[in-house]
Amino acid sequence: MSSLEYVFPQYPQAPVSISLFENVTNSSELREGLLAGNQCYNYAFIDAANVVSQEHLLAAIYRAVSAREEGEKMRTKNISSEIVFCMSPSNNIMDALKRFGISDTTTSVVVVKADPTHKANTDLVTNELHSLVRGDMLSVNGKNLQRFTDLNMVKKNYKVPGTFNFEDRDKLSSVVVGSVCLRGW
Amino acid sequence: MAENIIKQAHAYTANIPLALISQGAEALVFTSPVHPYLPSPPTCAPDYILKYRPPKPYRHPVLDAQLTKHRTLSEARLLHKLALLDIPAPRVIHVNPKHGLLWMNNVAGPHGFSVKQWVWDIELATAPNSALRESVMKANMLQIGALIAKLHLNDIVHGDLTTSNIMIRPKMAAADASVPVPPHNILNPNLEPVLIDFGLGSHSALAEDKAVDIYVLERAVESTHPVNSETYKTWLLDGYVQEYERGGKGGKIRIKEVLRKLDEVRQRGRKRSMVG
Ligand SMILES: Nc1ncnc2c1ncn2[C@@H]1O[C@H](COP(=O)(O)O)[C@@H](O)[C@H]1O
Repeated sequence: MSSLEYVFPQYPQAPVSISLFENVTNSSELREGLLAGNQCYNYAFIDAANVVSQEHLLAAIYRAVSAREEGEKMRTKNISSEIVFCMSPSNNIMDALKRFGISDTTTSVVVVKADPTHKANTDLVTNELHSLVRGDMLSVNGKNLQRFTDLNMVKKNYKVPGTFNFEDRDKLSSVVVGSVCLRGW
Repeated sequence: MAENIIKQAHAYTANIPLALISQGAEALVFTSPVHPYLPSPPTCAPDYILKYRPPKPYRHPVLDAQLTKHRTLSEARLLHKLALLDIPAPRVIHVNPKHGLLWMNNVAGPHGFSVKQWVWDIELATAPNSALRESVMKANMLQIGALIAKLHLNDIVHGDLTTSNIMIRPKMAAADASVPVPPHNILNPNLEPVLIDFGLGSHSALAEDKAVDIYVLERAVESTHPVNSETYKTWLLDGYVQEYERGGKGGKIRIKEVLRKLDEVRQRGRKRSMVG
């Protein structure tokens, strides 16, 4: 199992690597590493429970990467926190990192590397992550990403009205993508 | 001039093939087989739409930047609202209000058409007064009326309802996108209308604004489908009224108000056309 290297057509110079873990047992350790600003932790750690679809995850990563590549001002201190922030429909950064980032009880995590200086190297990232994250790596695809969605959490975090049909994953994905796109303008 | 604007759009979307399909005063519309961030399907179908509002050289640059940002966002916000309400409309894929860019899905898909084209095609393919024409046309006109009612019942007005701004497509096969779309067939009994172009849309609870929306559509029907326009207008309005009435007593009160305003608006329209 390894990370997925992903290239947006517009930004071939800035590939990202995306990984997915389940049964993670050291999330509190990961969170501490992030808080301490440890350079080994230069990854976006996203609680997979918030991810509705591959489209949703990529919309957030794309928004962060395109802002950086278009020379726009970042709202957070680096691209990793910016990606987590871009998952959020709200402008409150602390709140966004808390809700969409990793918490002590997180067991499934999406990990994104979007550091262009790092020259995203799948093997390197895969090895580095295997030593950081204690858990089982899965391949990154739509089906696996949807396995961990917590619909109640999504409903609350994205303020989706109760009248919405949550069974229709495709429509739910469009709604959260809309929220991701519209935040903060 | 136009060449230049198209170049600007390309500059914002490096490596993404764009095909210009419409050029209005306000915006250019392109289709693309490439999604800005999803793996593109191998079909190479023009599944995505980019709407680009270029800078307007005749406006003050600061004011122009504000207007572009405001209009791009306002359209995207309305589309998002419609997704939440589950009203068929384009889905937002990406927005960059500063650059005047709005990415959405192509609601027509490979087998959709504008209502304008669809009506023309049916008028060619079926005999006047035939049972076939009546059944297909009526069912869809009623659906279109009901769709506009849904919009209005949620206090959203479109602002530019024409038969080109309503698309018609085969009903989606549930949520599973892997189910093949039925083939191109104007007589398909399972069509659904979809509203596009919310560039002039807004929130309004006023019966007057809703009446104007309908009036604008009626005028569009008269000019694009002159021969049968009276019949089409009747069906559209029937569908509209029926959707309100499904809402019980409250709906009946609201529809009365809109119909009263519609009469007023029509009369004003007639006076104006007699003068001018
Ligand atoms: N989301 C969409 N899906 C399909 N066709 C569209 C879409 N948006 C715009 N168009 C086409 O582009 C034309 C101009 O778009 P607009 O400027 O939004 O009215 C429309 O009349 C449609 O033919």
